[in-house]
Order: sequence, then C-alpha cells, then structure tokens
Amino acid sequence: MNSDGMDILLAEDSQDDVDLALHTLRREKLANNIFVARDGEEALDFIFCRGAFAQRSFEHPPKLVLLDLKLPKVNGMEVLKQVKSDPRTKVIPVVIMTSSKEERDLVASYHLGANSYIQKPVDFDQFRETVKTIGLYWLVINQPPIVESFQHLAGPAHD
Amino acid sequence: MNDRCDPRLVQRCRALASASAVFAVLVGVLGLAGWKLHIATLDTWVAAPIKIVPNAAACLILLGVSLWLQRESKEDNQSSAWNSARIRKLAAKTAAVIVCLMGLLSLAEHVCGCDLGIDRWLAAVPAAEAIPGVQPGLMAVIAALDFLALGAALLLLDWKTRRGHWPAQFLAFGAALGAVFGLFALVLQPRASGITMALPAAVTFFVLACGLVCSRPTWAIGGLLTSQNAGARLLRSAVPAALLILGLIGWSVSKAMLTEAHFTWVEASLLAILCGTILVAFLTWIAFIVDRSDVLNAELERRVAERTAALQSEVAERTSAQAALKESLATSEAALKELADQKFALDQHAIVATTDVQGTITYVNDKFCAISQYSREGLIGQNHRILNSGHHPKEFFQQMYHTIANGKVWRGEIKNRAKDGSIYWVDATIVPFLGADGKPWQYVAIRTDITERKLAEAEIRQLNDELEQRVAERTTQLEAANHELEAFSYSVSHDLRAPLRHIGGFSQLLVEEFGATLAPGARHYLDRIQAGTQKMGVLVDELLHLARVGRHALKRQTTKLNELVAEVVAMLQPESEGRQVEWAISDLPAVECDPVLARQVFQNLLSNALKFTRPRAQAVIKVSCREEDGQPVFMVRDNGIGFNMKYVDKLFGVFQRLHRAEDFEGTGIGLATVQRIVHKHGGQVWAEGEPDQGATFYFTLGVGKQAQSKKNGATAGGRL
Repeated sequence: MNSDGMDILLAEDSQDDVDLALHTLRREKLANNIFVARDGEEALDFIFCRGAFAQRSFEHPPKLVLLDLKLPKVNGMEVLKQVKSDPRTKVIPVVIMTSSKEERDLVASYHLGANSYIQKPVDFDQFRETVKTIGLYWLVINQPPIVESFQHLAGPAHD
Repeated sequence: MNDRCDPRLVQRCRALASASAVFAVLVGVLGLAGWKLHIATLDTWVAAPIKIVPNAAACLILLGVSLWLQRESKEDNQSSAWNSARIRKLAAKTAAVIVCLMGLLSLAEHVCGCDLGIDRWLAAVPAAEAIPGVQPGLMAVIAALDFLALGAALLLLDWKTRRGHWPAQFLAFGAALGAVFGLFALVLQPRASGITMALPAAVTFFVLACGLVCSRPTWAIGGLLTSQNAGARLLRSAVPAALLILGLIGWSVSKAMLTEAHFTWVEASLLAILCGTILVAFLTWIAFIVDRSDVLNAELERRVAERTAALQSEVAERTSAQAALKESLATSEAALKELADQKFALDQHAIVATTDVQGTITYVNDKFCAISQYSREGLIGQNHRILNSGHHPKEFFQQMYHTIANGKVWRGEIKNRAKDGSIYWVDATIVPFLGADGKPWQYVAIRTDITERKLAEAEIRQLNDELEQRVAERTTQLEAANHELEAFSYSVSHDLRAPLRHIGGFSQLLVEEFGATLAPGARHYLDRIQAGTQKMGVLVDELLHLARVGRHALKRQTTKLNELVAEVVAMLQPESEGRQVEWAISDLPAVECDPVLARQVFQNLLSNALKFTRPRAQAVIKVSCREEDGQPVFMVRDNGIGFNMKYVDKLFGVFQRLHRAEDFEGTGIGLATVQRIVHKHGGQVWAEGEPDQGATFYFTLGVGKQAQSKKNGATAGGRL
C-alpha cells in the first residue's frame, strides 16, 4: 500500500467519528489524502514506516496527525509520546481531538509536545466548524517544517 | 570524823599507844625484878621512900598486855602471834578484868583494914618497908582507883553509848587525873602514906591513860587529836605547852610554899615577869595559831565562794542547757508528730513498702496487704520478687535496680501478681534512703493502684485499633469508590458524549442531505432528536462539572469578591442583552476561599437570578454581605418569579426543578453544585422566597472574623 504523500493521518477507533470527520474534511475540500488508522499500533506503524507501511518513507510524513486519545492497543498518549520523542517524527504537527476535557489529559498532552488540544463538541455544527478550522489552519495557513532539514537527525539505527 | 583525820597523826597515835603498852610492861617487869633482886632504884626511880608494890607492878604488866592486844593496826584482823582475833580479845579482856579485881580487892583492904593475902604472894615485902598504917605490899588508894579505872577502860574500850559517848575515855581521863594527883602528892608530901603512890606507878598511869586515848585515834578525843581542824590543831599545839607551863608554875609555887623560904623582891618580880612573859608568849602563840586558822578559814571561804559561784554559773548553764534541751525536745516531738501525721496521710492514699538493699521486704502498710492479698507476716522477710507477674522483661528490673542502687529515684508502672494470681497495676515511685556513706541502706516504695486506668487504657487502645482498622477499611472503600467515580466520570465524559455527537451529527446530515425528500413530519422528528441531543450534551457537561467540584482540592487564598463578581457579571452580559437589568452590588470583603469555586457559586447564582427575572420589565439583582456570628453572610437577591417555600428542600437537590422546562431552561444541577462548593468550604447555603416576589440566596464560606480582610468594615456599602 502506497501511503506516501498523505496529507492527514486520522487516528480514530470510532467509525462514526471517522465518517463525520471525513465528511466534513471532504466537504470543505481540505484534504484529498487522508489515512485513517483505527488503533494506536497502526498509527505508529504508519508514522514510523514499519510493518504494513514499511515501504513508506520518512521523507513523506503526514502534514497533520489528528489523534484521539482513547485508542485500542496503544493509547493516544503513548502514540504522542513516541512521535514527539523521536527526532525523525517530532516535527509532525499532532492535534489531539478527543471527547475528554480532563485536565490531566490536557496537561499531559501538552507536556508530551502536542501542538494543539481540541475537545470534540457534541453539537454537530460546532464540530464541523472546529474540524474545518483545524484543517484550514494546519494545512493552509500554517507553514509546515521543511522535512528534509530534519532528516539528518535521524539515527541510522532506525532504518 | 574519820575523813577529817590526818592519816600521819593517826599512825603516830597508834605507835604512841603501842609504845605506852610496852612502857607499862617494861615498868612492871622492872618493878618486879627490883623486888626479887632487891634493887630499890628499879621500884622508886628516884631517891624516894615509896616503892611500887609487886602486885601493882604485875597489874601494870597486865594493863600493858591488854592494851597491846587491843591496839589498832593496819593489819587489823590479821593473825600475828596468836592467829585468832577472838582469842586475843578474850585474853585482853581477861587481863583487864584481873586488874579491875585487883583494884577492887585493894580498895576493900584499905576500907576494912583486913589482909586478903593478895599483896605479898608475888614477892615478899618486909614490914620495915611497909608504909606506916598500911599493911606491907598493899598498893595506895589512888593506885587502886587508877587500876580500877584503867582496867574498866580497857574492858569497855570499844563500847560506845547510844548518844555517842565513849566511857573508856572518861575512865582514862579520870586515871590521868589520879596520876597527876599522885605526882603532886610525891612532890608535896614525899613521905609515904596510904594515899601516895610510887613515881613509876604515877608516870605509867599517865602514860597508859594517854596510850589508851591514842589507841583509838579516830574516836572522840582521839579523833580530836588527829583531826586537821583548827580546834584540833590548837589542842595539839597548846595542850603540851599548857601542861608544861602549869607544871612549872605549880612546881615553883608549891616548892616555894613548902620550903617556906622567903623570896627577895627581885626573885618575886623575876618570877612574876617570867610567869607573865611565858603566859603572854603562850597567848600570842595561840593567837597566832587561831589567826592562821582564820586566814585559812578566810581562804577556805573565798574558795568556797568561788566554787559556789562556779557551781552557780554551772547550774545556770545547766539550767539554760536544760531549757534548750527541753525546747529542742519539744521541737523534736512536734517534728515527730508531723512525721507521724504525714505517714498516716501517706498510708491513707498509697501502697507503701520498704525493703532492704537486697529487696527483702521490711515493712508493708495495710493497703499493700489488701491489694497483694498476702498477710503482713507472709510478706515481711520475703523478697519483693514474689509479686513479679512476669510481664516485664529482665532489663526492666535491671534498669530499676541500677537507678535506685545509684541513689536515684525511680518511677514507673509495674504489673504485679497478687496471691490468688490476679493481676494488678501500680504506679510506683521508689526512693532510696541514703546512709552517711551516700549509699542506700533501704528503699521505700510508694505505689498507687492504677489497675482500672490500665484496663481503661487497654480498652481505649483496643477501641482505637478497631476504629483505626475501620477507618482504614472505610478509607480503602472510599478510595475505591472515588476511583470508580473518576473512572465513571472519565467514561461519561468520553464515552457518553461520543454517541450523542454521532446522533446529532448524523441526524443533521440526514436533514442536510436528504431534507428535500423527507416528509415534513420526519423532519420535525429529526429536529426533536437534535434538540434532545443538545440537551443531553449540556446535562452530561454539568454532571461532570458537579463531579469535578467534588474531587477538586480546596485551595484557599485571599480573594477580592468584588472583582470576582464583576467578572461574572461581565461574562453574563450576553444573556442580559436587550433586557433592563439593574445590578446592585455592595462592597464585598476579600475572604479566604478557593477563587475558582467561589466564582462558580456566583456564576450559578447570578445566572439563575438573571434567568428567573426574565419576565420582569426591570430586573433587579442585588449582591451584598452582612455579618452574622462573626462571619460574613453573602446574599444574592432578585425580583424574579420566586418560589414557594414548601419546596425549599428540593431547591438544592440534583435534577430537582421547581419550574417547567418550557418556561425556564435548566438541568437542576446548578444549585446542587453551589451547595457542594459551599459545603466544601465548611459553609452553609439557604434560600428564602415567595412566588412572584423574588428569591434570596444566602451562603457563607466557612471563614471566621480573623480570616476576613480589613476591608470588611465597608460591607454595608451602597448599591452600585
């Protein structure tokens, strides 16, 4: 599976949430290439180009990771931790999108290097507005890092 | 009398007595020898016609022997020639009796003129040598009287009358007078007659009389002779001189008278001067002796006075010493009584025992016996260990003995075992009594029964342990419940919201994408679904909020409530858009509270006030503070629709609402949250209201006066 050149990695276990998010992103024409990981392990495999995604390259990281905290196998916090502690992936913007408004989750996420923390609104209009704003900001407004300039930081052991 | 005698004089007297006895025997023996050998000088001594007759000489021997046998000596009662004193005395008395008889018989011969044949059986007396008118060999009358007197004196030598007289001395005195008379007679009338006696006899009578007196030197006249008193000394000194003077004068006068010679005036004058001079000298001598005696007396008196004074001062000293002693005795007695009283008091309260340094019991009081159940006899002499319960380790007692053996007081609680095996506890103080060497010689233990206290303590400890265990159990349960609640609220926040979002989302997509094809009824239902979803979303949020308040740790800090209220009012501004609302906010104090939670309280109350005044054209919402019981009470009053006081109990319950949802939206959680926050602060919340007349909510935040800010004074300030 060639998943290089993906704009967004959406890590979300709920099919409903996936559908609603994809619906919104597509309607707003914010991303063409969205990869959906249904658990933490798949998300990590995707980001770290291993397992089923071994043919992927670090040279084409996703432009944005939308990460739910409550994920099967490896939870969202662990995924965030691994992404942000590896020099090859730490520059990838990670936005936490979760139903939780727990303070400890919020603090822990920022502590681990999350770029943004969003609580999914229950109201669908607000939800749609939120997703739209995020996509617009991170994919259009925000200037992404030049990936290559960080690649030399990657240790040879990781290949 | 004896103690006044000069022992040297006594000795001399005794020697004199012995000498007189020997002298008498000697004179007697020589007299007899004169008769037998016809040597007249031995019987007359001088050229005189009168001879001592043989039986008189024999009587002198007997008298000398009798006196010798009855003499006193240092070796009195000790055997000498005859080893028995009784035999000696018997012989002496027999001799004395014979002499008496001889005297009596001679007197009888003189009186009746007969011859009894007693005068010549010792030696033949020729008639030529007989005294005219008297038969040959018969002794003179005076000699017979003297023999009678001296014999009787020697017979009665040691006899004293009841009035203290000594007859032997009187008899001796009489004999001496007889001897002197005899001597005068010899001088004045040297011719022999029946009255005059021979010179040896007269001299010997005198000597024997003196010897007899001297033989008892500590009695009567003898005592006077040997006494150290002035009178006795005078007697001893003066009497021989007086006798000599009198003898000389008598001799001279008699001689002059007898010779009938005529004195010249010179001779007469010389004699007178001589006599006068001798007398004056004698008197001077006496005066000198008496004077010396007076001087000695004065000296003696002075000494006596000195001694008396010394004795008096000694007596005074002793008296004062005695008084001091009495006083000290009284003090000691008082101290002893106090000590006894204190001991009594101690015995009333405490269990008292004393032991020696080995721990052997030497004393116990009644309380000790009562608590230990031993008799006093069963305890004394026993070692204190018999009460050991075995509860305390060896080290406990080692430490105790170490302390008291070093002279220090030990205090502690001891578990003892009574005679029946029952246990009792005592609070003991053991005091060592230290000897002069600083080492303890006994220990006094004073104890108090603390068995009940110990039991109560044990009970309390057990109860405490149980309580602690229960608290621990409950804490564990609570922790588990809390944990569960956290998990629940996390789950609610995360899992409950997701399906709501999905329902809302998909129903909206349905409307948006297929709205045109839906029947109007279906569309209405979809709208209802969405409204329900939204409402449920709010409910979930508020519930979470309430749960979070419960778990929120209270962080008090000084909070300016006016600033806080102003922020809340500003936040609520959108809700009052287009309405007439008057905010009347008094000066509020700064108090110690959790600002986040306090803000929530005001937010909920003011939000409610704003909501329930909606029907009013002019809403008035007042926030003020007053002081009650030393703590600030905050009030939020509105002029809204109010409520019926009979539902006041439901006001603060979760999900409890007094109004229909159609009239006033709400979840019924806001006031429950307020109550929870206020309770968390240790405060109280209550409400007053009346339908259509508005409502007032009061609350406190558990802060006392001391926690209030100084700005408190302005609480009653005016409206804003």
